[in-house]
Amino acid sequence: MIKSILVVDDSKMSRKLVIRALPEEWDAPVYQATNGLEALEIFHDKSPDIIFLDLTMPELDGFGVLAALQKEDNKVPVIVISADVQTEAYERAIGLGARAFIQKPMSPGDVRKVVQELHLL
Amino acid sequence: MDEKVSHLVNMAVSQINAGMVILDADHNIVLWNRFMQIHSGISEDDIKGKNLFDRFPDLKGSGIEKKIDSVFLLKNLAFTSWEYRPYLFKFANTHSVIGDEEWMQQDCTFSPMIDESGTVTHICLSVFDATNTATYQKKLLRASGSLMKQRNTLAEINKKLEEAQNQLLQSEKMAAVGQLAAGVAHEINNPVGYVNSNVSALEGYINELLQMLAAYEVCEPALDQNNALTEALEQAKKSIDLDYLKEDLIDLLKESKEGLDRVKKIVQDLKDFSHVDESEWQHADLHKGLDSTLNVVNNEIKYKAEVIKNYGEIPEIKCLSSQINQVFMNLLVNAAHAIEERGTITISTGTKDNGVWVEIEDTGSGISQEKLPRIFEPFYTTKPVGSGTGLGLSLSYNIIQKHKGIISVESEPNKGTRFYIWLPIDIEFDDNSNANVA
Amino acid sequence: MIQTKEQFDEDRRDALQEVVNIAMGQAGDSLAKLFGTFVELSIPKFHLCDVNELNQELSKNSTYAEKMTILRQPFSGQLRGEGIALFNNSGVNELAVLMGYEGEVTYSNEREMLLDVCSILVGACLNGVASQLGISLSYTAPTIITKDTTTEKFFKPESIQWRYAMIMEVCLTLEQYDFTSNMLLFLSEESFPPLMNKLDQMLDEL
Ligand SMILES: Nc1ncnc2c1ncn2[C@@H]1O[C@H](COP(=O)(O)OP(=O)(O)O)[C@@H](O)[C@H]1O
Ligand SMILES: [Mg+2]
Repeated sequence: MIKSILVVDDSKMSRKLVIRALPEEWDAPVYQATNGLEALEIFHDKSPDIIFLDLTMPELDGFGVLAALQKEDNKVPVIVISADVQTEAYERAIGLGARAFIQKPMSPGDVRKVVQELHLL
Repeated sequence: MDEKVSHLVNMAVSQINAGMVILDADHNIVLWNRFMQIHSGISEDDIKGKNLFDRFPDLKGSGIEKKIDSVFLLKNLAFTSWEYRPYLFKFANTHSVIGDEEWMQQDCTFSPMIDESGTVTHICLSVFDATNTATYQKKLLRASGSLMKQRNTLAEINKKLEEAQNQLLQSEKMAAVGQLAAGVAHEINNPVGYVNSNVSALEGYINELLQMLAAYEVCEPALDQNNALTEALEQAKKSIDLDYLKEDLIDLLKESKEGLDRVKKIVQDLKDFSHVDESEWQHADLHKGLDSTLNVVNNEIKYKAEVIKNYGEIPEIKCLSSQINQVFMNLLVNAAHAIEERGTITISTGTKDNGVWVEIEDTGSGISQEKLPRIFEPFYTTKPVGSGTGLGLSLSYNIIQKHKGIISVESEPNKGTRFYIWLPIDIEFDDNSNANVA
Repeated sequence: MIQTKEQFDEDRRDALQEVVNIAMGQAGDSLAKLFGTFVELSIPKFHLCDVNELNQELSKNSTYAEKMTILRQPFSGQLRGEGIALFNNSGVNELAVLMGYEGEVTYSNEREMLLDVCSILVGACLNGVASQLGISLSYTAPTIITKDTTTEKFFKPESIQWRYAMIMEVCLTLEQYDFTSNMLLFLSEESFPPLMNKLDQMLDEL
């Protein structure tokens, strides 16, 4: 059961796109962060049940966030949504524990499809 | 699209005055329009379904595969330009009557053909005949190339002019130095004159004093032997070493007179050489000119060569003697430069055909047969930068020309060189000649 | 065009940056597939500047002080402008191998290859932007403008047609091959209104 959601992206437009694409079934509060440091702070404060994470960001990038979570041995599902679509980025993100990888530009159905596959609905 | 329009499109593809080829993802030819058929001589039926690289193996390994890949992957356009790749397909030149390209020069474009899902399914290759442009462009390039060359030549000439100007400045400086020298010579002349006459008088007096002394010496034995005076006399003689003094006095006087002669000579040479007061045509003795020039360049010659003078009997000739001296100087300095260790410079003179000749011969390095015709050219020099200007002989040549004389040269490598000058005794000017202008 | 800077407000800037980042991400992936090697593309930077400020703006990047080969490819459509690719003349031989030129790299090969890379870079960046904005662009064949010049010598204010432009700056690096190329996309002044419109459409859909 998803009780709160964290969306991390340095682009306001992208955050909005993600939020708009969230399944209607999830009637839960959405927290937003614009970089990795902010993301970790909110994460520890609010303990969201799912994270949508951009990779390329200032301060601390998405890989940094994944690494921090892995270190804490935290199993919160993280879905990466990134414009960096080279295989290197994909493999690295999955290697750091990301559960899924959505390529930008994403289409509205992408989020739903992924959370369904992950049995999070 | 309705049938009529699609028929027209097909017609257009066939008739368009450019090559059109459609390739599928495996590089197989799907379409080969009329332009391609005509220029390649290959019908569409023969080539349809064949692989582009199999039919045109020359295209392999030349970057074309990657171009096509990039169009499939990136949906961008790829190009070839005749400038860097004259043609993709080797077609005979369309401008076969006039024109110098053997093959049709081509500009080509690879464009992606994208379906509704956004995937590139085919590539459309268009081939444009760029022979005309190429021909003009190449002509232009050639023209600008030759312009460039001309510009470079001009720059070179400019540089030479600059050097010539420097040379002129140099000779102006020389003239100024000459003037200064003449002034100094004049100033020195006066004191040297009275020192000279004083020394002559001194010589007379000393001779008389010595005679007087001799007379006294004859009287000496008449003095009383044990007289204290005799003693004192002996003492004085000893202390001044009278015998030596008498001898040395003569020598000193002789040397002083020689020294004075030399000063007089140098002063005279400086005056002769600079000839500031004499920029007009005058009768002059070339031997005097040669001697004064030798004195001026003595420093350059003395360590290199022994100078042998074979002077004949010559009359004075009408000339600009300062300029003639300049010629002598150039020839003498060149001769000295040509001698590596030690050698001789022989100066001979004589008369011939109403004129006077001067030969300056050296035992130096000589000049090779190929170089000989060039030595009178301005700026021709074989000497290292800074030490030769290549102007000496050309200047000399001009001066002799102005005197309606002759200058010629004979040389044998490793043996030596002989310069020959002939000058008329009495130069005659044409009425409209401006030879007077130096 | 003073209002341009104001028009280009934070939301629009954010949207354009994201569109371009995404385009570059796709470009990087395609280039990596094309070259068969990892490709690093810098995060695109935007400059909105007057022609007189151009050199000052560019001088912030020290690589532009070096002598480079400069190429350009014009594009037109709803967005008009020029892509300028700058090569620092190293790694050319390795690149030739990547681009499928066999044998010795001749002068002509090298020139054509640089033209190829210019066209690939410009196309890769702009196609991604165009498809996200839902517009189509057409491209003219690239040309080599100069060899061995610094940008300062090249971008002389008096020799540039436009007064005001948007410049997007990206750097492509093939680390294994010691190859770097900088690309500057100049968007002409008249492209601003349609660009702003398209961005607004995207933002409105949110
Ligand atoms: N006596 C000579 N022996 C050998 N070479 C000579 C002699 N005189 C002239 N040359 C050659 O002719 C060239 C041109 O001479 P000149 O015009 O006086 O210019 P410069 O002495 O400045 O080189 C010299 O560089 C030298 O090669
Ligand atoms: Mg000389």
